[in-house]
Amino acid sequence: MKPDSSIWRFANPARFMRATDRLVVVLWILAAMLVIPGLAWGLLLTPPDQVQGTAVKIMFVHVPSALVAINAWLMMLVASIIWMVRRHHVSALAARAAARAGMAMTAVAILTGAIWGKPTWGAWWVWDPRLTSFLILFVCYAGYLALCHASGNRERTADLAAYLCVAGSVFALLSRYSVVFWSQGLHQGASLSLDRETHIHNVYYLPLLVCMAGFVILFLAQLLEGTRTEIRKNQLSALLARSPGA
Amino acid sequence: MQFLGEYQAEITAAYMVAIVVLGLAAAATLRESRRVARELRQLERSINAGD
Repeated sequence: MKPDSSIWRFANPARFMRATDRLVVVLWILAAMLVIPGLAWGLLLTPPDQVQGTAVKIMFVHVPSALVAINAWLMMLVASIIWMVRRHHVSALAARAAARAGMAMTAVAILTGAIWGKPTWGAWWVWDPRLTSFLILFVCYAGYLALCHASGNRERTADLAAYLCVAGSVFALLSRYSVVFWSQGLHQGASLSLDRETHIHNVYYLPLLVCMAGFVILFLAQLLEGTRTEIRKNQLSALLARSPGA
Repeated sequence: MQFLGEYQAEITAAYMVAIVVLGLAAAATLRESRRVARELRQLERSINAGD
């Protein structure tokens, strides 16, 4: 494979900035075009569920945010491994940018889950495996961001953040799979699955797909925007170091 | 709001939480991006003017 056709060409910050200049704007617009109609569809146009009644409408904010919360950490894991193995700065900066968006998604998933839990389980919170692992994931996000903002050697900070990301991945994977292998919890199994023919009725499935696509694209927009900001911060630091009088 | 039925308060709260938290996170990302881009432009201008 020629070097120019490889994905590693985006490890060059200047090339990454050029490649994402317009893409990031498109992603913000696309996210708005999916999230707003998707939430409106779920809220206004879906009928009450036979078991849960109208409380099922909370699914359209809870499920997409939980999906992104887990996968954002797994994306950070991939970026952290790339940083540890190949020392590409853009991957370390991308992991850092993903953490803020991922933490917001985790907060939304936990809060909306608690609000949904009250009418369906009769409790805001239970120490169910999925809920507990999600809470630990939220703490991991907070720790990761605190570590990233710690002063000191940037490379050393990126190394420590990458180690934390690898360790925290246990809880991201636990959050993802706890409903599959841990049967004593209250949390239901996955609503959607690629390897299953039956899933929720189309009247809920279609708006849920739109919301999930919207939340994923909203995360990607924040990821690219945040990575671009981190690259610019590095440029600022480098320029200031070279010309301290400026 | 009749279509929200007996869970009107819970549904409203869940949507409000999602909109506020995600909206604030997106706004913070965009605001920081603009601030850093502006600072970088100003610094480059001042360095070029110094030359």
